[in-house]
Amino acid sequence: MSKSYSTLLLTLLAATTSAWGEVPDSTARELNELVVVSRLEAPATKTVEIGAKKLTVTEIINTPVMFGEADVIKALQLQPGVTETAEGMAGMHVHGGGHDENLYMLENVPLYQVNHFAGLFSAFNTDALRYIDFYKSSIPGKYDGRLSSFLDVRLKDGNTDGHHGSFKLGLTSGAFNISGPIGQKTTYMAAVRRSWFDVLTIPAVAILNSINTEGTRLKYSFTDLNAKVTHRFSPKAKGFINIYFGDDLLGTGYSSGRSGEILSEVGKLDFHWGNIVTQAGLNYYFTPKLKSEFTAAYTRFFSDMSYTTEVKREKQGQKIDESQRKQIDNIIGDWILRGDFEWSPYENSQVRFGANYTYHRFMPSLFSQELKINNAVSYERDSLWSYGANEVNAYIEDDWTISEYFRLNAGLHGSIFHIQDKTKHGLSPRLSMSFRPTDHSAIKAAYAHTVQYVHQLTQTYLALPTDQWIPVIGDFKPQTADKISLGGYWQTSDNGYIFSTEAYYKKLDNLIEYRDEFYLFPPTDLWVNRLTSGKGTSKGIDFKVEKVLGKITGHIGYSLAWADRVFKDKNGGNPFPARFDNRHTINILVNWTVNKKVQLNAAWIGHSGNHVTLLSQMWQPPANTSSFNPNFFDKAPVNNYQLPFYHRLDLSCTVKTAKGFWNFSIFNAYNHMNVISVIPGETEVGPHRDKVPTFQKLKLLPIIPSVSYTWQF
Amino acid sequence: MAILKYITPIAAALLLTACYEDFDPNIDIKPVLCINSIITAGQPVTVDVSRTWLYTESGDSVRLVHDAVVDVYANGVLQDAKYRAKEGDTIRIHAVSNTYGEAEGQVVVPQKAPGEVLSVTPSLIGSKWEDVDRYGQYAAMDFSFDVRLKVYDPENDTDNYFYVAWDNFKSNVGGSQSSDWGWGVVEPVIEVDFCDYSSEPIFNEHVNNFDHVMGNGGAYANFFTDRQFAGKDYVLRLLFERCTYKTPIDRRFNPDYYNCGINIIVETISRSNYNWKEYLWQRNAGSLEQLGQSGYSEPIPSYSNISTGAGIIMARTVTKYKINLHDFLQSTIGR
Repeated sequence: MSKSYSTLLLTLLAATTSAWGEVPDSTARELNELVVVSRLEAPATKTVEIGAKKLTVTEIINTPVMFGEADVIKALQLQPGVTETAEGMAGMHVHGGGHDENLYMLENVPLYQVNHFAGLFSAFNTDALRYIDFYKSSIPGKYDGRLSSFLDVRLKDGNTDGHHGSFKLGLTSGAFNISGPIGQKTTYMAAVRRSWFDVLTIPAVAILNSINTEGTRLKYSFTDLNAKVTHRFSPKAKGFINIYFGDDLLGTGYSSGRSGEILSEVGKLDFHWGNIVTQAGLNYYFTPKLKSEFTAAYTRFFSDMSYTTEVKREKQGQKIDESQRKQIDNIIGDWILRGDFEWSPYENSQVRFGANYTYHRFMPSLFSQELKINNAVSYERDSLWSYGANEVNAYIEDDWTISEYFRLNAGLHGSIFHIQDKTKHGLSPRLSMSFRPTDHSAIKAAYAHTVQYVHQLTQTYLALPTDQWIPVIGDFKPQTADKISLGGYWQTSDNGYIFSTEAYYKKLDNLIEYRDEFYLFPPTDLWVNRLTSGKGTSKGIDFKVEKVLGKITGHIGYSLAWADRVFKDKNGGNPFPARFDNRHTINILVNWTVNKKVQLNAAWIGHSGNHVTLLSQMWQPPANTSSFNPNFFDKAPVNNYQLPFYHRLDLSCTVKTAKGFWNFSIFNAYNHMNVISVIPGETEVGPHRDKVPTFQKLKLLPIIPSVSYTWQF
Repeated sequence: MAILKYITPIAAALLLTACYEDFDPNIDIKPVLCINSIITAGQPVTVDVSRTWLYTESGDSVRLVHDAVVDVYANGVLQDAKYRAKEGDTIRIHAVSNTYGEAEGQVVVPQKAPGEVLSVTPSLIGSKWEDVDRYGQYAAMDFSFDVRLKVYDPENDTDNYFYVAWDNFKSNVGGSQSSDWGWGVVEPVIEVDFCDYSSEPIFNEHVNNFDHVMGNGGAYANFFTDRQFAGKDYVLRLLFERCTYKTPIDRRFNPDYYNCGINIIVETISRSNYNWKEYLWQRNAGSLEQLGQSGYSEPIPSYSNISTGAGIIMARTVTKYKINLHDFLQSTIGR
């Protein structure tokens, strides 16, 4: 006999509660509502997926991070098989995949930029989150469009029992959130966060300017806003409007006074980037067996960089004001319509199906220039690279509990991507199987094919706003991945410990990268000429021991992994290790609830060093070569040098008070400055401080303590 | 303007600190041969052979190769010292050393680009009497001039590459003479200090939008391609600024003293030559390599068309256009 959706939820919750302990109040309040819930509520021995994880807000908050800024992606970086892009940064590599191969979906809508300030902070404000489902091996049929992982991020609805919220004041940022009812059927939720960096740097800049004759300008700030209004039309229908706005501003420059005919001169370089998502959604239950979720949304990633000079001159008694502004914009905007359905024809079968349409607008490099002399203005704009693309996706999957021992999830995801009169398509079969020999153990196997039509071009190791999202065009084929996984899970009879192991082999095709000497291709050429396609493989095995009950919880994870790449026109066509080919990775997370008021958290991360390219051989250039830099380097194999073992300990402590809580955190507690790169540099020796060539390690982040207070109401 | 000028203070201020630490990477390198040759049509071929060395090694001796044998082939035929490079020749240079192995590379000598000077438009900025050192008074003038030079694409069916430069010439008059302070040189002086390459759009064609915004324009670039005028012609606008001419006051009525000006040199260059100039621009003015040098992105090795990745073989065909400013100079201060 079938159960209603709510009943199923409550049953699931009861099981989960008994197994996993206390449930956050906000979740409990929402359970009577018409809400979408995680498909990963049950422990891994009961689900069918491999390498899937539901991340709760509590888990995110209990993960110690830099500046005490609770961070979804940094919490995921502690999972086996996931490594960070660069030290302290919010990007991630999943099972040897690139950092652009992870799909971040906010309430079913993709977000392209998930970082603030070069990845130091993620764009997800924890105050607004309800839960995150993370898939890295078994990929349900619903998801496609990226090769390596999928994050389904869900936001809180507003409270129905009064207006509640919190205000957080930290060393680097402040955050405010509030939620509550509007009448009987409507709720609201708003969360805003802003950094203080620009305020903190004011004294430093003032001191600098008092010393130097030339003025220095320096400012950075980020802001993000989540707002959601939910209205319950009937017991069967709930609608919502969701707005996300993330915005980063980074500015630097100089100003100088009178010099010759110049009265004053100001130069400004500004970076501005962020995301905007506006969305309307409807959850509708046709029958207790058939429920649906409809979404209409617009998501836009933008980044611009502008350089402005303002010069005031006096020439032969005449004053002239000159200003010049050059700007480059990188924009991707998606209009999205989608419908997702869940149908339970039988008690042991859950069919999910749906379709979506996306109209993409890509403007990866829009250049504009304005020159103004007194009142005369000239303006030019170059929009050579602007593309529209139509993408259609449809999927179906069935989660079938065959017997007490066997469960199967089979699905198919089809996609069509039409751009520049060319149509590319993909068909992605998915299969996950689970065998449960006992109540507390499971053996699983999975296969997933994924297709990716857009990718991010990056020239640096950091997540800079100049990185461009571009579509697959020309003769390039969509990137694809085929992954097989095997997993074993065992839970102790008291449900206190879970042991798991997951092995995988992933084959990547049609990967896209900058080719050797790509800089020699002129900007008037399409960017595709600078790229090359190739293949990759990654394989490995993850182990995890998790303690989920008691005052002390946490996990120890270990990964043994390999990842390599080969491109036709990179590294002379020879294979090379991926930058994140980290052979060994160990993650340890400990959460200790000392008493009702005090919680201590510790996270230790250790992994084999990343691979970088170190140029080491010099050659003599032709006579009369004019160059500021006298060093000419021979080619070296790509990623020929492995950095030293990376390790770091982060600590945090939460102390509850009557009206809120303090958070104390220490990033890199034993101050081990890890190496993020190596370069040929120079060092000074001898009494005359002569410069001699030497190889140097670049180390970035030392110990960083921080404190914040959150007032709850 | 360098990106690091902006990024580094931000990184330092906001990431609190970053530091570089010396270390020995224990890299075991195998030195290889390096070949350099700049081949000019009509000239003999000269080749420099050296070897690569580890970055931390120092001293000129680490570059020397004592046992190299070099062969020069033109269109597949081994040549001797009498050979002069010709337009259209494919020249291959092969070097072998018992110690460092083999290396080779090849280049095609480009065709000469026909051209013509369309106009020369000088502009007087100012003139004055000027005491020059201890040799007496000179009549001096500051000026600029604009040259329109039409360049024809030499071949329609291949990519062609160009490089522009200039040098001064002056009349072979004057000489030593006595003055109250002793003997000195009395001759006209012409100085053309600057050509504003950034005012000619075609010199910017290799500059991407990022570098445009960062201020890394075409000021340091004087090379271009025929991408925008394949099979046709292009009129270069060359603006020469900060020009000075001086002549001894007592010789200012001698017309021979005004045979001064510049030679505009237009080279058609091989693709490797163009790539080399582009690479040097990236090193000196572009943003990309600066990030790599600092460890924030993948480093860029030096451009090379030699099999070992070390050295470069380039070719060029040179055409000179003489711009004689005689009439303008004389009409300004010689009347």
